[in-house]
Amino acid sequence: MTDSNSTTSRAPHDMSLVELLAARRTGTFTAEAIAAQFLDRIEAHDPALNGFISVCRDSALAQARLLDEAAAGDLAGLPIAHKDIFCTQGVRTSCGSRMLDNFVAPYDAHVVERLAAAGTVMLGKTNMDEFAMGSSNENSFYGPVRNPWNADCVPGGSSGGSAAAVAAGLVPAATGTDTGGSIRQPAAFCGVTGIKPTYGRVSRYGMIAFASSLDQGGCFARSAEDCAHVLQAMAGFDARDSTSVERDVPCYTDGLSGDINGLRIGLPREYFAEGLEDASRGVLDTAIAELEALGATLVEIDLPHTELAVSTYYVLAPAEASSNLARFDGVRYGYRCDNPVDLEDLYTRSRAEGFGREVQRRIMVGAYVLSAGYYDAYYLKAQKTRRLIADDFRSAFDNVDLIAAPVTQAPAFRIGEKADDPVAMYLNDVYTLPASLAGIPGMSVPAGFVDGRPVGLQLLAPWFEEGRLLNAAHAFQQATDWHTQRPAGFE
Amino acid sequence: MAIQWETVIGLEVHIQLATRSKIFSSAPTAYGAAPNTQASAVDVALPGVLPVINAEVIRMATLFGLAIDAEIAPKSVFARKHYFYPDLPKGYQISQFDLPIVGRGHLDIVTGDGVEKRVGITRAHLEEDAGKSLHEAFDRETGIDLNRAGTPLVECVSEPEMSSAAEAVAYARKLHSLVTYLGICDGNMAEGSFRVDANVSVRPVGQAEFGTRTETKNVNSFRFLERAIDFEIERQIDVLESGGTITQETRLYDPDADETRSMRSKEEAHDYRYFPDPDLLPVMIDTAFIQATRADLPELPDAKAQRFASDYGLNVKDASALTSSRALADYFEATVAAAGADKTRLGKPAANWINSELTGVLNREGRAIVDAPISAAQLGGLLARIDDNTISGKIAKDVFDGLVAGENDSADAIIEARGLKQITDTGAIEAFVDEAIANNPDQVQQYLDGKTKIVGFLVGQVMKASKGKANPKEVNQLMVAKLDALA
Amino acid sequence: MLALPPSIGTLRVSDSRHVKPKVKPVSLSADQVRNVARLARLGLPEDQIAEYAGELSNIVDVFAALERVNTEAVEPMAHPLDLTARLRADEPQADNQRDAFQAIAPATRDGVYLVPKVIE
Repeated sequence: MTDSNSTTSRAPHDMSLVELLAARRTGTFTAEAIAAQFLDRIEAHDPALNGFISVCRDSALAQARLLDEAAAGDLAGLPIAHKDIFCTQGVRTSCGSRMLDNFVAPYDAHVVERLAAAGTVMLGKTNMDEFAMGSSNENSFYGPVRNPWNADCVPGGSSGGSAAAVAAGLVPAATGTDTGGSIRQPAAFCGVTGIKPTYGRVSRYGMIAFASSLDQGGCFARSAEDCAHVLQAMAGFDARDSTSVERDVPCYTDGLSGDINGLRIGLPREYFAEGLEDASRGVLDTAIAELEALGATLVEIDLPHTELAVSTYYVLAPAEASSNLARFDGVRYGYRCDNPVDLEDLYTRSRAEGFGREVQRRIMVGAYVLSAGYYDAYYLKAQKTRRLIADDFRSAFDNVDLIAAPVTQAPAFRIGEKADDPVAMYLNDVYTLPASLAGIPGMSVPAGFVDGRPVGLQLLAPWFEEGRLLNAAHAFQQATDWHTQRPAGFE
Repeated sequence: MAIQWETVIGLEVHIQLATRSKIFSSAPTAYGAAPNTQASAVDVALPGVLPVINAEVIRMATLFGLAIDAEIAPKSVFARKHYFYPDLPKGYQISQFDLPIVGRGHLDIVTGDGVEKRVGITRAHLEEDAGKSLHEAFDRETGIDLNRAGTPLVECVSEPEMSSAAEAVAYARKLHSLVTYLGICDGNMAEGSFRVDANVSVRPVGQAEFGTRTETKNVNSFRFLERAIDFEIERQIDVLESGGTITQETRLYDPDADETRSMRSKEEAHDYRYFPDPDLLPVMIDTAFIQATRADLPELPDAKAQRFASDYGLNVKDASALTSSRALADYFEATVAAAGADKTRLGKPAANWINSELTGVLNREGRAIVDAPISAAQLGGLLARIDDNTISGKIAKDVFDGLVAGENDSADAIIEARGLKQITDTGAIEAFVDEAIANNPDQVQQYLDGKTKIVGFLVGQVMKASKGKANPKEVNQLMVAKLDALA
Repeated sequence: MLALPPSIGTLRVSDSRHVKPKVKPVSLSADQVRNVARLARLGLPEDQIAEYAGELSNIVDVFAALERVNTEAVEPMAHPLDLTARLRADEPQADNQRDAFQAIAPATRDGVYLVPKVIE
């Protein structure tokens, strides 16, 4: 139906990132027109989705106009949305929480600076689970986000707003963060492509911290190729982040040959066991067969410590979170309770009123596992099991180049279905947590549908092999068209 | 029978490192800036900010560790210490717990009565300072200034091996001298650069277990330290002797009331929930770095005092006084160098002038040696003129005062301008002597009658007549010779 | 409340070397909840303590899996990459942003942040 060589008949939201950039360069559309079109779509469609917390119409158009006068950057004119966890100077940065509802960031995150320097136009800040704690975007002060594929379903979390916005064509690309699966899982639930880079690849400066040794910034877009472009602009060393790695960023976009002949892809036994729903399994089997048809060799592998991932993660992440969230005390910024009687009242009420329930739960779990008498049994122990999990990947990658796996056990669940049961929610993350603990890069690519809800295929690569990852995803997307599908009503 | 009590004291000293920027942020560390004008995003703990370690802090801590003969940890880790207080913006302090940068060391002290003692140091670790709480400035509120938040500190923990306030003060003074010598701390206690927490307990002599201790925090003068410890010892003995028990608690010394008081806000036991800071990576220190840093070690106080004693012919007391600060020791050496080549002859006079005259001026004017109104070169020049007999010691005091007052640039210039040159010419002196003998026949007769002490009066007459410029020794010699010749 | 399956999630245990006898569930008491809430300065209403105790107990029960594996010879992993600290040069940046930072503060006066009076 669409002629990939001609963009004149198509709207910006139907174009790939490369096409969009070309359209602006050749003058088919001005940056301002592009931004305006996406802003109009946001205005029309977002009320049903609630994917955006803040929309920056005026500043976006102003920025676009400037670019029309003097275009600069590899992504000049590309509209983008930032997960509301990235500090954006002069714009509210809420982290999905009442605690930061009134927080206008006085500086830009490193990722925001880089993407601005690349010429992107920020349309707004997307909704998220509060302080990145959640897998459904139901834990937001601003209300749940709805899945564009099925309004009764969650989009996934914590980067639910970004995933939904990209899926609905409200923005061609959006940033996200992934600590235990918060990019990969919403990408899978929303039928878009998402990438979590290697730990240390993208600077965390200005990315409000949840779990410092696990958090990574990444992005959503409608294809691996699009993601490659955005990641190219985001990645790289930042002296302000001590965990940022001083390592050259390869040219991801140049590495997209689409050729995966001879690539050895590992299939972890533990991920394809009971727990994975049959229907999803069917979709994934087909997808993996496609990889084989493209020339890859499939190898069964073992990741024997996978069963420890949930407990390991839910000790470490809340512990770090309880510490990182101690700074939210009503003193220097953010929410302060009314008429505090004394200092203790200031703290206890500001925090109890400012934080939602899930955040309070995790803070308490975190304080508990770090507290006197429990540190060795929980925190120290979890650091050891973390190493076992990472070593599993190290061994596996001695024999395979990539790993293919499910992202979730089932597609998007209904809003409210797991909201009362934190543990059930945590158990959802079984397939995404291990890669976060190991710090390896991972992607989710659309692989099919079950009952109209998208299913994602997870690809994992060794540390700093984002190029290999993106290329394999790209090859898959050359041969399939799941990633080009649009939810009904958002065409 | 009255119980004999003994005291056990351990000191924790917070040493502010004299870096130009903070330990984890690039904000300046200069003292005295307007509130919150030296608090960067990292220091204010805005959401999303991250710490980055200052290399100079690692070098200074290593230098310190080497100076106290301690092991430098090849791998050290920063840990978060959690508690809530408004001057602690992150809700945790970045400190060190399991793996501090400096291990066991020691400090050798000499107490007032000359007893030498080696005090063990358990460890020294790096941490960041908190901001300041201003309780007095506002009516119903406390003000928070975060300028100081993030200033690098070395916390040096001694073994509980001191047994009196005097020993504790000697330790604190020695430590203070050491860190100023190393150039890692400006030593300004009034500004909070060197703060001492004293852990004090008492127990009956012969008891093995320690008594319950109290901690008296943030003492910022040696005098207060001595008073606070003495007060605490007395208080604890009083409590125990009247059948009470000591509460383990934190106390503050109140200099106006000369007493220690319990700190209400710190009474509850803290669960600090230490864990390695996930925003920071382990600090690795290899032998090459340690060797390079060791080469940076300056001559330390003890070694310098020994060298002064032997090379400059000084006694232990003088040598100690001169090496109490590096600046003073450097001043001394520069003075002697300016005075001439013979260290052994010029050492003692220089020591005397510095330890009495110069120190007197500095104390009177409240100045430090680095702000001395008379330079080492100037003082050395003055000493040279005493040494070569150009002026007498007495006249030299006037010249000294003149230099201090800024009358002229050098001793020579003042001597010239005021015509103070000592008269050494024998002929000239002889004329004065003859004159004095001629003008004072009674005293001459007294001398000839056997009252030899009267020569002093006659010499005094010559000094008066020569306006103090005649060389007293020569006058004396000539006077005696002439008087004897009359006999 | 969803009952927990005997193994974590529904992943099967692939290596019997790691299986140890099941551990009794941990139950956090109301006092323990009050204690962690206090540590974290969260003002929990009394009528929610029991509910939180149940939720937190369920979460902590998940950690039991950790006890089933022998980690004596394993080095703790604080960071995925096992890197070491990068140090920064001691160069002060005199970039005074007090106005910008205090423009978003709840309470300031004369350049200082204000909190209810603290008595020491």
